[in-house]
Amino acid sequence: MRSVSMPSGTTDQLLTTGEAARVLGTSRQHVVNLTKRGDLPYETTGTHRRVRLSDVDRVRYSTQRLSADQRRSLHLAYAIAGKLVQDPALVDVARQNLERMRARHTRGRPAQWLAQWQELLDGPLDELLIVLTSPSQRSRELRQNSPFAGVLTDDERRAALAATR
Amino acid sequence: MKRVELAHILRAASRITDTTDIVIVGSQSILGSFDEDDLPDEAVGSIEADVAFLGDGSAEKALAVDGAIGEDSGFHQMYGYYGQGVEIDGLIVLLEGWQNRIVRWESRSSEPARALCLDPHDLAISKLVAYREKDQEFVHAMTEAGLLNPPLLLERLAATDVPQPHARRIASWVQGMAERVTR
Repeated sequence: MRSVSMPSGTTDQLLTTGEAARVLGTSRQHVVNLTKRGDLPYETTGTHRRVRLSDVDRVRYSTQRLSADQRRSLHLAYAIAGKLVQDPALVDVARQNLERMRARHTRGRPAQWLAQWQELLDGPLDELLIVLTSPSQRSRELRQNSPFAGVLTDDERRAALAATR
Repeated sequence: MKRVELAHILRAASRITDTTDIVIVGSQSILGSFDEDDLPDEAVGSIEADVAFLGDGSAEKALAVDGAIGEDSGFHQMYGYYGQGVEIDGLIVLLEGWQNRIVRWESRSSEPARALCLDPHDLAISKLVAYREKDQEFVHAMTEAGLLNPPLLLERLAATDVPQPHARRIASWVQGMAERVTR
């Protein structure tokens, strides 16, 4: 069996289609349709479909309107993800930033988000890329506390911001 | 975020936009009313401050702030915090009369900028309308610390035009929370 590690503070349990329907505020049939269409990944236990909470969250938040600043933030993260795919060693920039940021922000939510970034930076690159590019609420919060400053050059950053308008 | 960090962002945003009065929306607005040492951990917010402007050119000013001292900028990398330019649009719920209750805050290190911060109860309602887990945590912790007054929250809520079912849900949450806190 393949195990999926998730950062602390999150759960990624399998839900029944009925439970997923309650999370999404839709009918069970709609959830089944999403899985049939391929919009919601699933696995089967016997004849029953099970879906991951993280995938349900992705469906849920991908339709929630992003504010202008959240959209700019997402575009910056796309650009960063693109560079990381080509050069994973750039994660070191984030590691150095994070060390300084954790020393500065030691209380409350910021400290919790930065601890989650630490686990993501120490984990597989794929999970990091998912967080950078996901519209989920958790990813929005994480990006707001981003340790990736300096990965994009000034020109790249300007181009990403300009393309958002 | 600490007040000294907010002051730094204000000073920088003021230079960039040639503006004195800068509106702070979002959770860092609370720093206009309370020092970070007097706030519970749950109200410490994040590493960025949402900066908005009034009047003509407000959108362009917000973009200029984002470009110069925003997320992933050199400023962000150097100092570990940043200013996010936002527009006061439909996504931020501000209560009727919020401008009359603005809390002005400035310090030597924010000069020449002045922060126009939301009144704590206005801020709390704008967060409760968003109704995310962190918003409830914020209001709960602030109430527990004696920094918010539940009857006043309900009074402000009643003066909003939040759709009735949602307003009722928020009101019953506030009442339940207030009972737990005072027990």
